[in-house]
Amino acid sequence: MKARKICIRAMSLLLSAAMLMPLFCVKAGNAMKAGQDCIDLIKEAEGFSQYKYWDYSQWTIGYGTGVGADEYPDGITEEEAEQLLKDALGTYEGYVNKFADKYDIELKQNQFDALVSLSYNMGNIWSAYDDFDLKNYLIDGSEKHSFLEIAKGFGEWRKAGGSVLQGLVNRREEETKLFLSDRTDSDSEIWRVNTESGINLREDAGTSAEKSGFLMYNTIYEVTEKKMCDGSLWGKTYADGKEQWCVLDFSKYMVGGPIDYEGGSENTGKSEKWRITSENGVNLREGPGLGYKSLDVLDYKTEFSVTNTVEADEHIWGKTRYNNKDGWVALTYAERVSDQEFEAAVLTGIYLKSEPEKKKYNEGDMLSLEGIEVVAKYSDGTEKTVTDFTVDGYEPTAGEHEVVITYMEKTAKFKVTVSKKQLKKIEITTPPTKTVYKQGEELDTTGMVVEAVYDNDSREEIIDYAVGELDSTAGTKTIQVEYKDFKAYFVVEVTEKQMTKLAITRLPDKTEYVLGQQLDLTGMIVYAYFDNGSKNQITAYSFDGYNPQIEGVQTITIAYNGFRQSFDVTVSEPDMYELPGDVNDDGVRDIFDLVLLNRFINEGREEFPSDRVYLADINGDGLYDQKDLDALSRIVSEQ
Amino acid sequence: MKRKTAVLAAAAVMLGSVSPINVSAQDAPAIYINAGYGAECETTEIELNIRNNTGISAYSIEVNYDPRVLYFMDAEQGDALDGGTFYCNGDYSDNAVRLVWSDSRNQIADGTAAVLKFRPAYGTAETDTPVTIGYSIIADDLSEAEFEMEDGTLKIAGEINRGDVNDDGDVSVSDVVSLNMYLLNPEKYNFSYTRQANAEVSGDKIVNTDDSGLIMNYVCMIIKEL
Repeated sequence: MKARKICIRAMSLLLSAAMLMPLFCVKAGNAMKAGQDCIDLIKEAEGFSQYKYWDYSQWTIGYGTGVGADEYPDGITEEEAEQLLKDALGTYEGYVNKFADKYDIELKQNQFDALVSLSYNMGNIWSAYDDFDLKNYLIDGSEKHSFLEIAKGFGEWRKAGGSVLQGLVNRREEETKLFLSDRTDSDSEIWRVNTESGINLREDAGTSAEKSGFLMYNTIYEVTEKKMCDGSLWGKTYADGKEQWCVLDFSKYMVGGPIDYEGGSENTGKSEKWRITSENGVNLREGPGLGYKSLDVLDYKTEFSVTNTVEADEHIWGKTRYNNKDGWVALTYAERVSDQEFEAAVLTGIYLKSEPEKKKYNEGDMLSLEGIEVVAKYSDGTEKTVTDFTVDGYEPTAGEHEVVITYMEKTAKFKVTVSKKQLKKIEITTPPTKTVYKQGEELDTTGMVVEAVYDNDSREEIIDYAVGELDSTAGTKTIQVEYKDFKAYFVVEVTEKQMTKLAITRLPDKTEYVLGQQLDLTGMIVYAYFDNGSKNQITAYSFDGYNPQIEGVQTITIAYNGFRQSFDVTVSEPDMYELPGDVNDDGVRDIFDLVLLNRFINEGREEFPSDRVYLADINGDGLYDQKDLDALSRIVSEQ
Repeated sequence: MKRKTAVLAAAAVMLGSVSPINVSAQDAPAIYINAGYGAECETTEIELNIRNNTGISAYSIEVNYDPRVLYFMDAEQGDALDGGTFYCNGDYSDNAVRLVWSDSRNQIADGTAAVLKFRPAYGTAETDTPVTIGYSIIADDLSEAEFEMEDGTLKIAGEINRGDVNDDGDVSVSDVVSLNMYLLNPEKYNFSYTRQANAEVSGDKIVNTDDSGLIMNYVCMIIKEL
């Protein structure tokens, strides 16, 4: 994009140059004359002195032109002084022309003007010795050298009497800008330290970054990147073998770039002056492109400042502010008047066009800026509404607070009052949507709105309250809502759940029996299901359908609360060798069976195979007890 | 029962000799019948005892008797065994009863395992009848235990008057003297079963100095009953 911008800039410059004045390229043997740029530069730099004065080594009058001691005893007018200057320039034009001829250098007019100004000020010493960079750059071809090199080349001639003179610094700066005015091939910007105390270099942008170097007053340096930080514009430069940053507040832009950065380039104070050349005028559009809406029309010959350029829709677009509107103008229909700097509008302050509607708050309230309009004022008298400001100073505590609005380090203020408030009660302004429940359902407070009511009549919805439990019994229930020791209530209805089915989810472990064995439902799991979707495991069911004396398949039915479920068991003939009481399976019933039976019945010790447990029920009553011991004792006594 | 007080005589009689108790040196575990004495037509208790008990958890024991001499009345569990289940099959056969006992624990106490009650028939006075152990099996935990089985003999007396050793109708120091003399030389003094039964007042079914001591205490009114 930067290369593209350079091309666009080059094209714009070419267009304006073509409209403005012819390009003069001097070939060896042709004599160039100083242009008006040169004359204006010298006039500005020298200043006008109506009367002559001693200037180090000669009498000087007008715009720094040397005169004899007896000349112009009555002073000189500005017109005379300008003519005097033009006449005097001939010598210096010759110096430059001779230099160009000697080294076969094609100088452009702007370059020639800059060099004549330099010569007028310093003589031709700059071209006399091979040590001087500017001379070597020119011989080598100045276009091969960077803006920084050219600027430093001119910068070698800022001393007089052994000291750097600020006037010379400024003059060399103007000459550098004039010399480079035809070039657009620089991505970087050239700056000069403009404070006597010099500026710090830091490892990164921002005053909290570690200091890493220092630039003295009037140092010329190159900025390759810019960014806003801590409210100031910072530039990245290469110094002491590394990249470092410095705040640009204390430096002066010279030439090159522009380098875009977030926050725009408006505050660099650099822009180009353009003039509308279309007799029909040119639209000011919302954006750089024909598809953007037109905001206004700049009439023929209207002058405007361009702070940025982009290419779109086969035009070069310049960003400008016109009639308090920010927009873009197709520069195809304009000419650049001058690339000399003039101050763009800078922010001078902000004010509250309207303050926020809400000025009274209660403790704990958040600040509301609804209704606020912050307007930024600029040095050119323009204003614009801004929204990216910061807010500070508000505390949700009782008392008066001054709220500070800050935009680009400019501030505006307004006051608010925060009142102390005491909670008086809580109210359920909207009860929950669900008011009827089935037994076992969870309480649902969706839709409920609870408000806290304060002694200053303010109310606010609260959400961090506690809600009581809903018990599972049927009937009308009052539910408590509690907030900071304050209570409110709402009522719901709980209807009795209805059983819908009985289910055997797991059959008993034993479904195969022999004659005489009692039914064993161990392991069976039974559930009752209800209309509220819940289920309960049931153990208090009744059962029937089993007869230990009947062989075959038998259907056992369990019943609970009017619901029934069934499953089948099989009763078969016992093994003929199975003797009731012969728990140790040795084929006889004796005192050893008695010992085992005693242990099983009295101590629960099952020391015989579990599938013989049923043989412990000697009397077939379905129980294992003393009666079985008595029975087996009798049997053993008969052996 | 009458008793006479004759402290000095009793003291003289009490001096010195003590008849040897009929004790056999038996260290092996044994179950034995302790019959003792019974009176004609009177219920008498015959003990099934355990000696040197190494531990029993159940038993099944057949006790044989002469049904012409003894009439079986009943049987009950003895004090030596604590708890468990006791059963007496009195109808096992004409001349035998089967006793069955079981418990969940091994028990190691000595003493009376069961008490059988018989009534000697009329006309059996001054006779003796054997009471024997027939089939038996003892469980020590879940294995069979080795116990010696010892039979017993019931000596049937006529009417028994406790302490009236000399059968004179009174209980006096002379009974004590008479008993002591018998104890010193049973063969010489050949007590009848009735006199032996009268002498056996200690309840151990054996006539020995325990009995003479008790009779003396009774005569001296140290104890009120025999």
